[in-house]
Amino acid sequence: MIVCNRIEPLPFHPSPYKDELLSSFLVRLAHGHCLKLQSFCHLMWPGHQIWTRDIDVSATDEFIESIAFLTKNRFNEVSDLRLSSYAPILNGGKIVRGQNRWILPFSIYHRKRNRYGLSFCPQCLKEEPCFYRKTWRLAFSVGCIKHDTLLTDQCPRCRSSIMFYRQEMGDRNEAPNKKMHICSQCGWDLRETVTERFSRNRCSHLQIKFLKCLKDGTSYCNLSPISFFEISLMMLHILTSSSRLKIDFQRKLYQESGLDPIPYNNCERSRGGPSGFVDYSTLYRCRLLNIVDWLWEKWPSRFVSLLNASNSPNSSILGDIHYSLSEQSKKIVADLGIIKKS
Amino acid sequence: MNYPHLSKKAITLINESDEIRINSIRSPRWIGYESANQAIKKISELMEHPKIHRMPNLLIVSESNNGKTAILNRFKNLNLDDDPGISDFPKLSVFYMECPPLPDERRFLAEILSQLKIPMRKHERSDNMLRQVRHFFEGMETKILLFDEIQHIVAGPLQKQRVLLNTIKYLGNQLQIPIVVAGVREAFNAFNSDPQLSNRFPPYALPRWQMSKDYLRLLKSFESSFPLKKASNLHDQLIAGKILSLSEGLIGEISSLLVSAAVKAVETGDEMISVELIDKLNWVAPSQRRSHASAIM
Repeated sequence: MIVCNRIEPLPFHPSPYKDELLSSFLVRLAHGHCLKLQSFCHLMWPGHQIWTRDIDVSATDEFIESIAFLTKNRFNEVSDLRLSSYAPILNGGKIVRGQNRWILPFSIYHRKRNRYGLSFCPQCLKEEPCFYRKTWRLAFSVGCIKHDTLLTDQCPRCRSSIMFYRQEMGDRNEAPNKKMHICSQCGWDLRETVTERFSRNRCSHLQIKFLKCLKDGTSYCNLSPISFFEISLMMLHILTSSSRLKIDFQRKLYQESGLDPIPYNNCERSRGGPSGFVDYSTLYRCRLLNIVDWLWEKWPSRFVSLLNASNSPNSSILGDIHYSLSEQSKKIVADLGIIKKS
Repeated sequence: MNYPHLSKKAITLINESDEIRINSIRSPRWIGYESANQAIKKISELMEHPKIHRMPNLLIVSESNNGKTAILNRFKNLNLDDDPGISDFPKLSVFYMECPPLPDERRFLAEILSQLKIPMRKHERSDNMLRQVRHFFEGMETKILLFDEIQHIVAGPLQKQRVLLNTIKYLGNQLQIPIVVAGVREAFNAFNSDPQLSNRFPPYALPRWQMSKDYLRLLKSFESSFPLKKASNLHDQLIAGKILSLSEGLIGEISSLLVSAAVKAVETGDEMISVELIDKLNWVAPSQRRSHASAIM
């Protein structure tokens, strides 16, 4: 149980920005008191491990309550900073320690993050105030709609993952005034990152649909939000699989769609993680989502006809994914006539 | 029944129980007088001064118990921030603090941080603390700093005094806000010994009270605030002279003496302050207290 050391609210008590990430809010809170992040957390929650885990995912209700008390904000406002607020739709209703669907993993080792769990938009970081968005942790969030730029998930200079909370490491006497847009490993100004235009990609529309679905519960193609995400994940699983049975499906899809094929055996896999889609770089995720968007454009006919046209039986293409779907999604797939109803 | 000698507020309490009236007599009050109002006006002018490179400051100096703290507190209460503003920092136009007993820079800064309830590390370096202090004063849009009991700086070695005074000067320069310090004669001597400081902190002295129209007006104001049923006529020369002599012209002593007398007047049922009542208090003048205590022991 996490216990706060302080019995009265803090003198600096900011409100969270819209779509702000919890870790970004904590950094802002610490720097607002002119304290280094570790010192601040140690003063507020002595003896508790905060930065050796993915706090955006694993923050408990007690921790959120203490932040809400310290900053004179409502519990719900602070709770919304957690990725667990997406749990009802994204992960079948629960956020677990470890891998969660659609959430980019960090692979935390002590306080370092070995995988690319956070993307960013250089233009957004140029704006005041500078903070990290919650949606930048989502695997389907590959572009910034506002600035029409593709997101980046690593420092372009040193290729390390984004660890904005580690800027103060190295000099214990230095003032805690480094801005969050500075790479904590090499000092590069992440705002100078050059990226591609996002609107060129058809997945920009899909991303908007995903976000609307997540925030408002809007349904698409007569599917509930949960099924929409689950079936999208099913499609991505097929597209990123190296199984011989699925490769045939992939081949037919590229022929039919005219979209650039994504070779499954590429350096992307060496980025370190068996989790598939969430381990790919932003660019590749963008390309994969382009394909998914093409499939959704004429759902379910395109998907069904590709399955029927492939040489592999449908059960071998869908079999290993099918059992992980929720009951409502299983029913939808069964109603397509491609898998026998159980 | 008419009580022409009482203020409106005192009249509302006249029929209350003795406990309530005694409580009211003992409660803090502000009685405005010429030099206090002048001091508050001076401080207000400093606060409204536009930002320049070398902001004007002020040193309020007087004997102990002659109203310095009351003036600073009055000024602070007149300038409380009702509107929280839209910033993430609370607004604090006026910061008031009593200097810690020793002239130590870290202690001084720690006291500021503690007053503002800012979290700080246990063994924080003084440069980091200074940075925090500056950061918060800027965030809270503080317009003036009031440091009371500044004579505490002389309670330590000369070098530490220098460091502390330099810290105060630095804060004023960096924040570009005026600083008002208040203290007794030792503070005046300390500031006067440094030409830079004496230039930056011109003194404003609060004199002892003497028999004058202002003094009699002051006594009348006190009388009107005490819910006593009979007029005490404190402005009469005899009783006024007695009070002046026993208080030695210090406003704090005048106030304490009159409060004690008014409480006694309620307790005994006299309902007025008289020379006889004052005599019954066995009040010892401030300068006599040490010898009086030795005599008793």
